[in-house]
Amino acid sequence: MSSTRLFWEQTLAILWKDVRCELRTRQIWLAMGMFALLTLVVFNFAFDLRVDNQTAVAPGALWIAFVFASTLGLGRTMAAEQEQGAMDRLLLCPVDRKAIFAAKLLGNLVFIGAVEVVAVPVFAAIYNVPVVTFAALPILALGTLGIASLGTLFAAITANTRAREVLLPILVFPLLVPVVIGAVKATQGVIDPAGGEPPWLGLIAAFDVIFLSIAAVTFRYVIEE
Amino acid sequence: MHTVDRDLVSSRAPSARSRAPTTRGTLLGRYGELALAGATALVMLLAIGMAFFYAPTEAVQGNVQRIEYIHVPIAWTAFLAFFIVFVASALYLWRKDERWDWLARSGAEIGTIFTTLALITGSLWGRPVWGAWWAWDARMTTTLILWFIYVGYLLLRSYTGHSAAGARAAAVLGIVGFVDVPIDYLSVTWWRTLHPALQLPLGQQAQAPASVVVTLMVALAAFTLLFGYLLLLVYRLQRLQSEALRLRARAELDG
Amino acid sequence: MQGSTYLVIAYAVIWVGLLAYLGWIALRVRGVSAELETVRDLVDAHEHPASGGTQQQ
Repeated sequence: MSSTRLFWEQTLAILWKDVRCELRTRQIWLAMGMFALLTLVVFNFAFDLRVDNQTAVAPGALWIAFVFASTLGLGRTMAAEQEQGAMDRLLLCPVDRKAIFAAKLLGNLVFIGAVEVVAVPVFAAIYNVPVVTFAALPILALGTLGIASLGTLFAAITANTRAREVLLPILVFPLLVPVVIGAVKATQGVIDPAGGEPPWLGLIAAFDVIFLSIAAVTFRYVIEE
Repeated sequence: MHTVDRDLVSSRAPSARSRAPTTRGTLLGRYGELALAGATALVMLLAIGMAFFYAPTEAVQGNVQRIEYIHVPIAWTAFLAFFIVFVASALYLWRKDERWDWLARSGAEIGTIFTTLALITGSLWGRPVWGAWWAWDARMTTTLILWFIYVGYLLLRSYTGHSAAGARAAAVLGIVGFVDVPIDYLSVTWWRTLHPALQLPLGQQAQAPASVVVTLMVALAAFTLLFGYLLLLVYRLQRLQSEALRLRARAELDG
Repeated sequence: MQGSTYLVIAYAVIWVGLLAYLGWIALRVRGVSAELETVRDLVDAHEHPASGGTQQQ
């Protein structure tokens, strides 16, 4: 059996186990989805959104909502698992640590994706912004991948620490600045295409490739006892 | 057979039997360390002298421009420190020798202090030049993000204490953080090109007279030496703290 | 405030800051050395009771 196939089998096995046992985490993601929607609404008041400044401000609201909600959700999910000791049991098996990371990442992506599927249309509606297009998909995908990669890695890091809920955002937000800038700018480009913009999507893609690799490789150091 | 606290003794470390961990330097030797301190003081004095008396007064900004001779070297040294944290972190993960962890901690501590000073001097320089305490200038913004990453590193270390697991976690952050900074700089620079904000009037070395460049080089050397000396001191502190913890654990097991 | 005032403040901040930092390092080294002395004596007393106390280095 080739090692790649083995890797994917392990990944899917862990992912399937996670999906089946995610009762607690599903509730967390429901709450996170609500949080994301609320953030969008509150932003409207905070920034006094008007028709003229929509393009400038609205994408910011969207991505802040995603980053905040994802970070909070990831932290809670990891913590919940920690409490159940699931990770320790998993580590007893001779499973490729990268597969564990891949499984966690895919699981998180599914959940964040579920939140986005609801949040983006709501965002487009209440901000009156034409963002539900095919052009927006790569931005959402790549941006979310960036958030989830670093988020999964650092959720594992902070799961064992004391102020874990607050430490995760503290560690992850500065690292995500390129993704936030890139995603917001790229989303602006979808809403209101202007020429002469630097390749934001390319930047996010490069970010994803780099940090996905680093996270996959270093994950094992973070979860080993 | 004691079950020793694995965390403290797990990574390969210098012999725990050392009776008299020296408070004096073992890396460079006593005289090496004194020599470094002396060299640092000398070059630093030279740099200050040159910054005030040798370098010319800049035409547009006036004397305030002389802040450049501390702001630039301190910022550069802060990045150097971060590079050291990166290398030490990677080596720690690879080799599991706690001495690399001591080096990473030292680099992070000094780097944070230097980054803070870089931000303060940048702001003090910016105030008369920009008319504001802060402008979202690309370099300063990246330095600010760097500051947050450093502080996050220190917070993580403080929350995880002296455990090997904590050291590994911090090492991962040290690696990720360092790789993130150039990407940050790129994204912030692109962000800024559309709305060019005021920049700190650096990077005019091409047109700058030789005396400016020379002074800058000397200042750079001075702060790099200072950094090296501080690194030595803080590294030793880490080593001593580690020894003390190890012995304390042993004493408690015996008692 | 004049431009040169900022210059002076900047240099002052740096120097005070660096000196304070050096002082803080020295303080911690002193603290750790004291702790090491104490702990080393403790370990010696426990592991070598026959020698009746601290050994010569």
